[in-house]
Amino acid sequence: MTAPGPPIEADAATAPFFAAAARDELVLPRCSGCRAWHAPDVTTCCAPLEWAPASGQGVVVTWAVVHVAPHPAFADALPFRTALVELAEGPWLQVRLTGSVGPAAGSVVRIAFAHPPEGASYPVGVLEGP
Amino acid sequence: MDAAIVGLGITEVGRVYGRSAPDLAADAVRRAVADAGLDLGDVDGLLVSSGTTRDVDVSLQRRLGLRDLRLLSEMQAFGATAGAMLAHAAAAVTHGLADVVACVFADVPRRAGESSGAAYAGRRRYALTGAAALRTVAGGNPTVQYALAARRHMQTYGTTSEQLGAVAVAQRQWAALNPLAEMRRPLTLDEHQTSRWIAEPLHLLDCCLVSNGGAAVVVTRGDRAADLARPPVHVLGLGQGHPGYPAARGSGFGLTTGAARSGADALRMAGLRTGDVDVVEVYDCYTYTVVVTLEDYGFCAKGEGGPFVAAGHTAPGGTLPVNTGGGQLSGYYLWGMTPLTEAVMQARGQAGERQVPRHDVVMISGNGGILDHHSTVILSPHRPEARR
Repeated sequence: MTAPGPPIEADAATAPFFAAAARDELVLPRCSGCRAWHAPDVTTCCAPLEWAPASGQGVVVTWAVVHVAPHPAFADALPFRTALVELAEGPWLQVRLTGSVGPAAGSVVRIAFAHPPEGASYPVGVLEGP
Repeated sequence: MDAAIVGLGITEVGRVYGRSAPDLAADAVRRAVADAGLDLGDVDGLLVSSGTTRDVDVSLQRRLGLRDLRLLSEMQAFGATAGAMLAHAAAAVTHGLADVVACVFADVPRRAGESSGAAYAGRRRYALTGAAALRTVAGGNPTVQYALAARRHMQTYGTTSEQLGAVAVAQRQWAALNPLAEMRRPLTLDEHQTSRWIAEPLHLLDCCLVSNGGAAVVVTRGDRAADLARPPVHVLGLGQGHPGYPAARGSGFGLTTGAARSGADALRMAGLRTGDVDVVEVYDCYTYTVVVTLEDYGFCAKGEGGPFVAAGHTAPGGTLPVNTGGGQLSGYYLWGMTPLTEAVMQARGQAGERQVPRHDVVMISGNGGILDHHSTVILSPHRPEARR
């Protein structure tokens, strides 16, 4: 899978997320108290958060077709689609959509992973079905 | 609240090269103080804010040679900062923490020989570590995030690209009447529709200008304002809204903004309703933000912002003049100072060829981040009768 864009890396808070991505697994922060699922950047709920395996299934909330490189490392990948995906557990994840098919609001997306030669693995979105 | 804007200063704006942001900020303050008929020695409060260069800070006091200030701070809520500075200044003069407060913004994102897009991209700091890096590798940036917001609005309410184009066309009509505006040549809807994509659904002509320049206002207590050089512009209402959208199911991102809370608070403080507002100056970093802000302020129903603008209501001669100087799309881009400076000129009745006939109540929005921060100011040439 192609992986345009700059190399990125985990920080202390997200090390488990990126370690799971390297294994093609999606994990999300989940509250050990109220059991609510959260987006990867969330660090606060009513009780400590723990990383828990997520389904990797979701639907497109909204998307854009990027025609101007948001970072020089995307210059050879234009145009491409980026989307906010609502995961089955509830949290949103912004991912680059692979493939050339246009999505619609509600299109079903499966989370896959890009493994660039440099830097951390990260999630991408694959449109499922018609 | 008893506060008024008594001075307005705008530097040369646009493709202005060879001057630093602090230099332009100092220039703007000097102009605003002179405009009020005051001396720099009268200033005892200074609120400063930066754009991309992040170097307009409290050292501006020394640059201006201001002595014994009673109020001094750098403020930052991005596009909502101008309204936030004005709120802080208005409260300060009302309660006697300072008597004459200058509020200033300046930025120099543009460099000679560089495109508008390059101006911001070259100064952008990319998150490459941790959760924030996920947006970077997803291909996000501020314009892309606004495209995501606009697309959600379009999908949910049926807003069209042509309706967004109507915002750009109407504002260009206003800009044609404004000698301060950078883009004054008439614009057609077809030109909007055929302008290149930046991030679909946003065309180039859905995006604001990039300008170098500075602007300042001087605020003092309402009862002092009448004795100064210019017609006073009184602060009737203030509000802010910072939604803190969760990235999760139920988020209103793209659909409703902090304008809903902020606008309602400002109108309540002023004791007014939307029907009392004569002219609106909206923070228009993108055409879409005009549509969603007019809805959230209540000038039309939710989802009706696109048809409202397309019907011509906001253009010259329309029922609700909006962005009467051309806004950030066609006038000049000085963050929240773009709507605020135009509002002061309109409220004074000194906006020249573009002056709206009724300007008793002027409503101003500020919008920062990716719809993360909103401020509202309601101004009037009339001092509020019953002070709170």
